[in-house]
Amino acid sequence: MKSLLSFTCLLILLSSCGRFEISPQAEDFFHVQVASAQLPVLVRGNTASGKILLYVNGGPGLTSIDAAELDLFQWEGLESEVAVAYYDQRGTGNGQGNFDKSSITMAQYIADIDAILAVLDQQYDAPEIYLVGHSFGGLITARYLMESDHRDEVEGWVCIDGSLVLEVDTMWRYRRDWLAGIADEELNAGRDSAKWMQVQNWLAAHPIIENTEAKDEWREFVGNPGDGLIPEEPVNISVGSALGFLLGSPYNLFPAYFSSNWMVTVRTLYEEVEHSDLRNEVSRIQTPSLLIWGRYDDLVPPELGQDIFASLGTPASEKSLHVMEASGHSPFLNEVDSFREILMAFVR
Amino acid sequence: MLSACLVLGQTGNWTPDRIQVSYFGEQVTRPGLRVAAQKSWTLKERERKDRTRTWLADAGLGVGGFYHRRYMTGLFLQLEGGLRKVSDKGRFVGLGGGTGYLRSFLPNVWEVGANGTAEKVSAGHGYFIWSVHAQYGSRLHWFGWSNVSWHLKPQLLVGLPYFPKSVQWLALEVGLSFELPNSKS
Repeated sequence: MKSLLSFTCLLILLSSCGRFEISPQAEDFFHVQVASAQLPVLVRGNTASGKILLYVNGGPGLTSIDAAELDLFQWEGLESEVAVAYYDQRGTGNGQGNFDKSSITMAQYIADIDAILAVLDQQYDAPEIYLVGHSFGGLITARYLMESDHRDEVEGWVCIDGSLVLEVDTMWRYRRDWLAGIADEELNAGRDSAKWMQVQNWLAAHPIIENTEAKDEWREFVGNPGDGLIPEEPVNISVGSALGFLLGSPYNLFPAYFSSNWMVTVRTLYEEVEHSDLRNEVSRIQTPSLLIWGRYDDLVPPELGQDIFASLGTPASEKSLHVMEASGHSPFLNEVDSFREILMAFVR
Repeated sequence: MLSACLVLGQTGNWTPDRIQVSYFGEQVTRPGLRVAAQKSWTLKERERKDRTRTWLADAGLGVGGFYHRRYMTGLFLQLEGGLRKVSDKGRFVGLGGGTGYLRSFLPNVWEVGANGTAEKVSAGHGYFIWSVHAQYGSRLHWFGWSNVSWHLKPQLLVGLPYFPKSVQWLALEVGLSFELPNSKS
């Protein structure tokens, strides 16, 4: 009887601590506990490929699990080839816990990624792990690759329109240069010459964009996504996935959407990084890297991507930059198939 | 809640007069159960055009829980009170609130130890909760169940502490109340 009890206990122990099943169509959901927070992680796709992309969303303050549940990125094609791990960052979405505001720091965000990568590494039999950072997630992943003790364990870095510079005046210089480049292109192509001549004249009169009035005028020339210059970011949410999300998703909608937690997180993080400028620091990154930028990204222009690319410490043969001609700030929404092909060519 | 406590304190009669059994759906579809013992006191009756409206103060103690796969399992103990207006046909509407304790249990939690090994751990949080609710219901007239009523009760629960202050859960309670044989309301 005693030995039967011991055997049962052993079975329970083994089943509760065993590795996750590796499958071409995996869907595993777990939490990673780190520094008083429990971060939800969804791993979906082909874990049998031995490759996992850890997606680090931007914002800051945005969420990932819901985007995955709603198939917002239409990454089912990507997930048939590799696995994608989505997680909600500390202080956002359904990241749970009564942690202190003082833990909303880049250092802790890097430690959080370290913990998630350690769980992925152990539970999926040491897969190749790629960090995929979009926008502010580009900044987080860049900092990870510069500062984490475990950065060498990352197989590759995918930076999508990464906000590696947040310093306001510098970013407005990039935005001005970007608009000047667009104006040249449009005039050379003979499109709407009157408007683009006006833009060139305005740019000549504004060598620096620094006050609110000038920024508003710049915005009028650029317009909003879908107005013509910047491609609209399509959000394809089917009725089925929306119902599935509402009725069966892991989300508690209140902390994700109706609470002030993400605003506190955004403010706290920005206080730390608002003067960030990693252009001269990315030479410390040696990891094989793929930079993807939307040609019409008015927030983080591709001119910044080119400078980041030039400064990266990664050997030239192991880094590439793709500027996607029909994309804005989120190329994976604008050019779904091309984005997947570029990403998979890098991961393969 | 306050009025119920005042009445309760004045009468000193704590014997419940009905038992409530409800489906407790966190975010409506995440299933749970709530059982409560309740007591009511008549505050006033008003007659108008051959109709009688009775105002009742309610107080009760409930226990319950819900299961939200992948998010958390919650178990709670809750003191509740409220006001109800009851028609002579047994229909009622009401508002109220409560306070109590909720314990959460998170599923499938992993933690990386100092040696770099990830281990499965149990994790959860204890919350002081307060809640507000509205309710609508009626006495059941089917099968001669004159001592049974149904109710529909949407409610918002707020749990403390949580980053940065609180966490909220929306729940819909649907259930039956069974009057106890010795009840006098």
